[in-house]
Amino acid sequence: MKKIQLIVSLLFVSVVNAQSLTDGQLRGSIEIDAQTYRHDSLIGAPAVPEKMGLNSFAQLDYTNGKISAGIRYEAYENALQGYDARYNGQGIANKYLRFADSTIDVTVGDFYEQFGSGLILRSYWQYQLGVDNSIDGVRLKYNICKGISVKGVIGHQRYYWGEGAGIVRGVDGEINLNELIPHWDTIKTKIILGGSFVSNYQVPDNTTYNVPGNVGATAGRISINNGGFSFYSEYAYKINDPSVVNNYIYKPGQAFLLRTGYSTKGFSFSVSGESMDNMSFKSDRTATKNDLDINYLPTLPRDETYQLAQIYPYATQPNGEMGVDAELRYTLPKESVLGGKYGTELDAEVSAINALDTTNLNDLNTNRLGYSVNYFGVNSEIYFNNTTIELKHKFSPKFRMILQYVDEAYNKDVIQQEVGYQIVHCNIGIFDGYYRIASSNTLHFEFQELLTKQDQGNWAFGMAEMNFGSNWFAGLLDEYNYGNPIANQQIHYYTITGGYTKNALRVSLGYGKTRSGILCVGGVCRQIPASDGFSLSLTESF
Amino acid sequence: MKGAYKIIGAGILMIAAASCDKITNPIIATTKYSALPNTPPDHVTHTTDSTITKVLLEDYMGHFCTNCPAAVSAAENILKSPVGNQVVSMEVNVGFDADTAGEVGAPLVPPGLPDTAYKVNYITPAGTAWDNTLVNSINEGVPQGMVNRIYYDGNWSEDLQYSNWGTVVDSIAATPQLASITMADSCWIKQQIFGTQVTVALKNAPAPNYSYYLQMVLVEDSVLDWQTSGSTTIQYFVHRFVLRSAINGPWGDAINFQSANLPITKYYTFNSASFRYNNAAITTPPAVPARLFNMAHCYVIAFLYQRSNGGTHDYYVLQSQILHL
Repeated sequence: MKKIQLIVSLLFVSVVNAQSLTDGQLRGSIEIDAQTYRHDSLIGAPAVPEKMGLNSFAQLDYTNGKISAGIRYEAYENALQGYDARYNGQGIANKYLRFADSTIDVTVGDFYEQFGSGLILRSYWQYQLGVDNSIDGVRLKYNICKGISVKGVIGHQRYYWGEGAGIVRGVDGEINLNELIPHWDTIKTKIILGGSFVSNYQVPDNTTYNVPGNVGATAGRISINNGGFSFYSEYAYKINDPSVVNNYIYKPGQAFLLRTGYSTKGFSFSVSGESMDNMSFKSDRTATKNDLDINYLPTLPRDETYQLAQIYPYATQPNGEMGVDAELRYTLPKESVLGGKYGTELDAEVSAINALDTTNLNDLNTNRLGYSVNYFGVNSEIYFNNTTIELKHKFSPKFRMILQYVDEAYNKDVIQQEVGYQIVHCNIGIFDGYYRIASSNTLHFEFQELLTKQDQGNWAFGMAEMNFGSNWFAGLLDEYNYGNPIANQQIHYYTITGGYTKNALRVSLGYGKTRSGILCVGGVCRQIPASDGFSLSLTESF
Repeated sequence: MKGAYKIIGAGILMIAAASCDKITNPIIATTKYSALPNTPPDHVTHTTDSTITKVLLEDYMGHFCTNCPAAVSAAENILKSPVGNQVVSMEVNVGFDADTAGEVGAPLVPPGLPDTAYKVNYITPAGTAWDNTLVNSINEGVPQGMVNRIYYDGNWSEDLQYSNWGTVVDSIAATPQLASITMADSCWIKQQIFGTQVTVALKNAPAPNYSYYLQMVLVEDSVLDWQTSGSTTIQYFVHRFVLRSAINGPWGDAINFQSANLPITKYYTFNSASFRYNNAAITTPPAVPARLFNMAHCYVIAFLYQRSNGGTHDYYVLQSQILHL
């Protein structure tokens, strides 16, 4: 590993030396996030021996003509609470060298790649989640002719400061019919077909089961666009892949994804559906959580951004789920009765995700297929139901607001792997306003309330944030669990924050309490433990 | 261009054809007591107390660790306490402080000690795997410990300071039994082998999305060997229930529970050229050197734990059991 890092570092230096720096372009970004920790048994903030944590990285990318190279240095001293402590330490986490022209594109080192929507391969870095499943190896992209391209990857995935046990290999091909077929480039309907195959090899070393060394998965996809109409569908199949995640069953995995919609000025409508069955695909059969995921299972519901709407976020269930999502957006025209002077935006979204309709085969001592699935049936077990209605309205050049209402049913036992909560029903109301006091002073304020008779009961949230001039800002927020059935848990989680921004630089300092929970981005989640202390954040890019 | 098509097409077909292993017979066949002698065993022992909650206490330590004797004392005090019969204790040697003398990077041996001091390697692959996944002694240092591998916080969430062991043991020992483990050991001294029959059952129905594993390990009690204690070195420190080897790998065997109270029986054998036998009273120097395993002091520990794909219930030990060979 260190040898590879050295070689790539030397190559990087060679590239920089071989051609004048002024001929190329150097880009970079830096982020530092630090937090102090104070033991607070009331909110469940643990005693952290080192008293503080720090996550940081610096990314440098240099491009000169067809050659590019980059490195990313990361330091976790120690990792912030909620991030896996196996990140503790520092070093070069990512390095690559790339050659790309109009025909061929070769990368050696660490790279990120996605086939289709990621159902059988997606390597990505999500700093906020602590997810980095980059592939350390070789990637080749080749444009065979106009309209046909293929790419192949091979390598080991990043596993904190080491590498996963499996060797990931994959190929993906894409055909753009409008580019390939003569005269189709002028027709309005655009069609792209794609197919991919990914395989992982891991030594079959289980003493109880005959586990497969090579696990393969394949997928096919089609994309059709015509003006405002769009259609995308993908199907994936994975051969027997017994693992800790699926309790070592040998049932093949399947996933089906469909997205279609229509949009025009001021109006859009989309419908999505999906079915996932036993589709966890990792490069180590003993890995759990977000470790060593080869694929990515997209989630249907939106990523919530408001504080109380994030209390019950959805996490994709790789072992099985079936869901639909529909969203309608409409802008009431300006100067109309309901649209007002500036127009009004309406957004309504409905999501429903249930368990698969399965039948237990009771064959764990023989074939270990585990269960059968009726893909045309609907299991009554709810995982997640969400209805969100949002209204955005601008009253004047000085004042605009967003109103949101959320009705949600959340299977906490399944989604958060807890016991005894079952379905949590909640209603959330949100008011989000912006008032411009002067040309360089805007007050941003939010009021939110979550009502539920279950789990931790009702919550209220208030926030006020003000910017002073174009550079400075300060804010105060309080999240209050006033409905907690346990009296001493009716806690105010307050935070005071302030900071400075200039161009791409943003520095902020805060102090406050954070409730425990989970943070999800795109259906991928991590635990957030309760904390009490100061936080410092810095981001810069150039 | 046609050549490029052929090469790429052939490459894709080659990868696709070579990269899938279809398994038709998932379970590896095992034969009951296949490796054991046909002669009657020298000893047969049975568990008699499978109806109480038994808590697993793991003490992660090293012979160069200055504070580890205090943790060993804490574990001994728990074993002597009113809930002592509900505790299965184990010393797990890990990391830098468990390196052997003279090893590159190992702590330096104080001058004047014999060449044999700190030379026994107690580090095991299983202990190292548990440490790397659950304890993180490389950053947290030793002594560290776990009680039933219970979850505490977000980072290396299961490790626990020895000053807190007693409280946690007491609280878990008072909870209802989650599973039962009964064992029978048969030991052949001359052949340096033993066999274990283990029967496990869940008290409640298996939880959805959870998987269950049975871990079997061999420990040796009263191992007399070097140990640093503060600024002094002790030549014959009494190490208690030292992990010698995992019998079924670092993470055990998956157990496929179908329902509550439905017992499942597994069979294990273990042999080692390091086995000796001396059941005389403990003396200094010991009759069997620490580098060898005295079967008369050996025990088999079994514990049943669960996996939940992350979360606060992952790795939690439902029940433990210990049986003298």
